[in-house]
Amino acid sequence: MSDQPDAGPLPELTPAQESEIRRLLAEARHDEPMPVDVVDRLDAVLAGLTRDEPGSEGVAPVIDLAARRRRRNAAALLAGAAAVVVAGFGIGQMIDVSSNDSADSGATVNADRGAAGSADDQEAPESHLEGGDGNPSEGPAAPTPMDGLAAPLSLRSDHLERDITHQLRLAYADASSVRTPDAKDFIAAGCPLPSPATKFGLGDLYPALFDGRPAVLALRPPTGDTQQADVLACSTADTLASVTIPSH
Amino acid sequence: MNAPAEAELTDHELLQAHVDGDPDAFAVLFRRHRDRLWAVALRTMGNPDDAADGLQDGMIAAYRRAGSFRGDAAVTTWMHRVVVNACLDRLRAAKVRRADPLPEDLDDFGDRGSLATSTTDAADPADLAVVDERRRMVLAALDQLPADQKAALILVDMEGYPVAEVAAMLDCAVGTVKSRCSRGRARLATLLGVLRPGGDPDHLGTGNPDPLSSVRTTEASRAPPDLG
Repeated sequence: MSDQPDAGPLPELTPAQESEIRRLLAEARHDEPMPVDVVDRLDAVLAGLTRDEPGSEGVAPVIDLAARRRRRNAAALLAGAAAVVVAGFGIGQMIDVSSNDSADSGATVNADRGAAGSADDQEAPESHLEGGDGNPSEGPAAPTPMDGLAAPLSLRSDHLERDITHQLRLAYADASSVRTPDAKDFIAAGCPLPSPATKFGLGDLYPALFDGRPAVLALRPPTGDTQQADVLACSTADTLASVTIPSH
Repeated sequence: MNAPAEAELTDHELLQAHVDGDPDAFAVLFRRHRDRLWAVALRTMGNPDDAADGLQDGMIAAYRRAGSFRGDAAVTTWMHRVVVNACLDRLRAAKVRRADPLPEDLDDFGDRGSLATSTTDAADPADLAVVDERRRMVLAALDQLPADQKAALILVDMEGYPVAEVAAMLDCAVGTVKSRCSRGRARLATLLGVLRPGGDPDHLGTGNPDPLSSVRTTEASRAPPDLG
């Protein structure tokens, strides 16, 4: 942020005058330790941050998201294959594509409704929100094109622009699969939004994992061909990172 | 993490341990540097309550963003940068310039004798009181500066960091830090009366009133001397 403009011209100091000002400032240095009440306050905040970390006592461990994604994609592919088989044998015939009961019903739903990848897939039990549906300890899931924008976007600080544009492109590749997130999605992502959420400013909010930690991605209203994308802290809305991306 | 082990770890090692999941590492690191971070927050915000809020914001940001630290600077530089940015964000969000007037007794201050050359080693309580009051005046004047100039002077002249390191903390060019310091010192000199015509820089507040001062004297006229 640039300086506020100085009011009027400023005098040029002699070396002696500048030395005097610097000496006065050095004399005004605060040398006392942090007050005990501030120490206690910050220690409590730190303890809370540590307590809420995934894997700490009472908090669900981090799951292998890549393995989970592979299982979900495999189930989707099988469901898609099953849909083709069903179409080939005629309406009303069901195919068991998994030995898992929850996957059975999911596959059945997918088979009934046609090709995998439709918006209806998000209602299947093995959805990205199974953590929010009935197993809150599962934690957030990485997004797939079928999940739309309701699953946390996986963002890296050193590839932020690329990660945002890539995942937005995937999500919008099939417009019928995009589901905008609601409050439950943020809770499921480990990032409950405070009420009101106005402190996050104007724009569209999405749950995200920023370098592996829950955060909020705010896409600001486009300005011409570009728009600003801010990564914000969950509870304080502090800006963690900011990039400009092509408007979508 | 046991006490002997943590004392042997460098700042980089502690930060990496935190990124790797050690639940105690960040607290150890923060405890190691919190007094200086507190001093910077206090001087930047101007009062203990706002300083505690700003430092908390910075601490949380550093805790969560530790993974983004690339190791191309000292960890303390990075931590100062995060804390100063958090404090400046609060100042800008409040959009309130501290407009505390300089002490009412500014023009009479010189009657109390020389101030600039006394040190905190003085045993005389009167001298200590003078030093304390001088410090209060300097801080009040500092609070009147634009936030960026104030931050630069706090880090360079108060905390004594090299200009290059302050440039890394403030994420700006070395020349920008120098410019902010130069302009800030010039403003302070004006506010504190160091530039008064014929004035002694060792006597803050003596002589005719500073035209930028919020305090008006009721004594000597500012008219030119009568040469008749």
